[in-house]
This record gives sequence, C-alpha cells and structure tokens, in this order.
Amino acid sequence: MSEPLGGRLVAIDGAHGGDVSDAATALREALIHRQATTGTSHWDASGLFGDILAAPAHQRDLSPRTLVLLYAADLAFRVRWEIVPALHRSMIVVAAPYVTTAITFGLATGLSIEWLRTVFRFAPLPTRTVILREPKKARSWKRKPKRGFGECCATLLEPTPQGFPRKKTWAAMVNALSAADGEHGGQFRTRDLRLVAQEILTPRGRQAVQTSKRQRSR
Amino acid sequence: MSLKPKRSIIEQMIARRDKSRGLLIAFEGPEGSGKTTQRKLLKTWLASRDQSVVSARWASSPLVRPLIRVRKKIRALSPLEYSLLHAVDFRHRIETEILPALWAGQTVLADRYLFAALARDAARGLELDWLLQSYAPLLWPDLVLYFTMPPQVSSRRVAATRQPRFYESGQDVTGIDDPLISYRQFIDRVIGEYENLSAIFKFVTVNAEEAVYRQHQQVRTLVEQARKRPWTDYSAEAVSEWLRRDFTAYREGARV
Repeated sequence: MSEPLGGRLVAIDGAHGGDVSDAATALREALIHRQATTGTSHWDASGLFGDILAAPAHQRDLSPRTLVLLYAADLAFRVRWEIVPALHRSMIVVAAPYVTTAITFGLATGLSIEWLRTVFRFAPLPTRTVILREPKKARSWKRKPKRGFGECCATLLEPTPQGFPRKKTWAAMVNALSAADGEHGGQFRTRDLRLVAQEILTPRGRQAVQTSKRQRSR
Repeated sequence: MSLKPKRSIIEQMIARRDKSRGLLIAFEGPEGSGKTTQRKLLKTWLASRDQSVVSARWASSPLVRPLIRVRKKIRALSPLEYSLLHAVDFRHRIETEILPALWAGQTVLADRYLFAALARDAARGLELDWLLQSYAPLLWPDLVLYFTMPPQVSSRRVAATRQPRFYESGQDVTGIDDPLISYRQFIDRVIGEYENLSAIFKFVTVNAEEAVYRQHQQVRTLVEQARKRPWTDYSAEAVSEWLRRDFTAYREGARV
C-alpha cells in the first residue's frame, strides 16, 4: 500500500456491512463535532456490486476470487474519486470498509495472503485502522446483499453448486479480523469511536484510547 | 516404502484428466493482425476433423461485459480500474467457460488471452509483476500464437477500416484528441510490451504480413505439433481452485 497524502485516512473494517456503516457515521459525527473537515467513502460507490446484483440470477456464478477482484475495482474507483481528492484537500477520510475487510474475507474463503496483499497494493496506507468487534454470540450474514460486502458475497455465493458455508466463513472472517487486529492495533466497539476521533485529532487522544482499552481489558 | 509424497484426490483428478482434456490455444497480437480471421479458419478446419471446438473472445463474460461497456462508454475508467475489471471478466470466463470446456475435452481457441491484457495494461504504465499477480492463479495456454507486425502496419490496417475507440487508441493515457494519432503512439508501446512478453513466455510467432492462406498453413502445422503443457506442472492451482468450487466437475472427475 502507498503512503497517505496530506490528510488522514481512517479505515473501518468489520464482518457486517451494517455495523461498518454505523461506525462510519458515528466516527464522522464525532469528528464533525470536533470541527474536523471529514469525508466518507463507502462500499460500492462505483455501483459495480449493484450492477452484479441486478443481473439475472443464472449469470451470477461468481467465485470468492472474482468477488475480491471486483471489490478491488470498486476500491480503485473510491480511491480515485473519493479518497485521494479528499486527502489532497487535507481532510480526514473515513473509508468504511477498506482493505482489511476484503483481505479477511479472502482469507476466510481460502485465498492466499500474498495474493490478497499484492492485489490491494495500490490502496493508500491508512493512518488508522479500526476493526469492529463482533459479539461473542455467533452470528452470520443476513440475506441483505445491499447492506455490505460480506452480506453481498454470501448472497452471490449461495447458489453455487456446493452452496456457501455462511456461518463457517463468517467465523473464519471474524478470526482473521482478530488476527489483523495485532497488525494494525485497536479493536473497537462502536461507542469507542469518540475516542478514536479524539486520537486522530490530538496527540493526547492516543493516550486516552490506550488507557480506556487497558481499563476494559482488566 | 515409497518416499514420494501422497497426492491429494484433486491432484490425482487433474493428472488423470490431463490426457483427455482439450487443448487451449491463444491468439495474440495487435489490432489488425488477423487473429480473428485465423481463429475462425482454424475453428472450421478443426471442426471438419470432427473435433469439438469452442471460441473464447476477449471481455465477453455475459455478467461482466455490460459493466465494462457502460463504464467505457462514459470514459470513466482509470488504467487501474480498467485492468481490474478485465481481470474480473477473465477470471469469470476461466471459471465458467474455458475450464468447463477444456475439462469436457473441447479445444478452446482464445481470441486474445491473458497476454493482451498484460501488454495493454503495461503500456498504460501498470507494473507487470502486479498485473501477473492480479491474474493469478494462471491457466497457461498450451500454445500461444503471436501474430507479429510493425506498429505502422497495425495503424494503417485499423485506419483503413474504422476509427479506433477511446480506450483502444489509448487516449486515456496519451491525452491526444485525435484517436488515430493516439493509436499510433499507443500501439507502439503495446507492441513493445508484446515483444517483451514474447521473449519471456516463448510465444510461437506468425508473420501477420504474410498472405492469409500461408499464415493458416503455418497455424495448422503448429497446432498439429502442439503438445499439452501438463496441468499438474503449470496450472494446478487454477484448476484445483475451480474443481473445489465446481461440484459437478468434481463429481464427474471422481468417477473417472
């Protein structure tokens, strides 16, 4: 991934599209509350997945690898039209979801980490990656394909000849997200996003976040 | 006791199918080099010899093609998006058209394959290493026929029949308003990249300036002499990924 430009890029990643969108809205509001100039970049800004979902069902025979490539094409669009222009204007850009969501989905479906990392090499490196925590109770993706990347993939992969192991893949993605947590630092609940906003805007904020995390872990 | 590692069921299936599978032949070269003409002539000839043949045209996936076409029309694609969308189309065709046909024993004639994308996208300034990775895992063709011609001849032949389209003429990267002038500049880069690829991947070259009949004679001879590149050595990852997904082929293969 390339280095960020003038502004700051905050990536929000998670298994559920709804959670990711909610977190992006919460973070954006927290940043606006602190008078920061922000922009957001959401999944499927290019409309590629929407177009795929509108195609006749018998044509939608896609593999996880094809879906990851499609995500990369959508992200390339978002980087060009939403993320990079906002970073050039020194804005704080909330990208929800970003690279980690696609990489962990790819890992959960058996794609290699080397391939996934290479494909997403074009994306600017985020200043901060927030990985949303999943509740302990086992969940899975609902059949609401327009809600997010995971939901869309689960819907598109379901009619394949061998079906799609929804719960198993979801659990594998959650595990991969937890592992990714170690690389980027910081797994958050939605309510912690106010602290993230603080951290992004002030150097003192970082300490506040770390203290809060420590307290919680006790 | 044998020291040979035990092969998985999928590896065994791939090795067994290699004998009966079809041949994958790629037709590569710049615009106006006569690839399509030669592909059609070869198809007719092979069909006359009772061979089951299918053609695979570039960017023709019924699912992805409309997406690309709409975005091309409004000139909305950057070189990166252009490349990634074609990678989506290519992967979709590999999994739904090319591999099922090869598995069923049909010969596949690909009118432009992976190398067209590599040459064109590299000419647009993308890294060859990244491009190869984005198209991985690769399904290697058994024979790559590269129709060579100088850039001037390609420009002349294209100009004689039609005006090149926006992306075809590389106007998105040259910034030149005149499609023909842009095409002349762009095709020079594309052919340069093709020449590099030809040296790396050892294409079989056909002189596209020769008479159509002579080229066809050469193509026939080359196809008759062509040997399969063993899937187990070259394309195992691509085939096994498809087999794991496509239960029908898996089941049929298990019966073999």
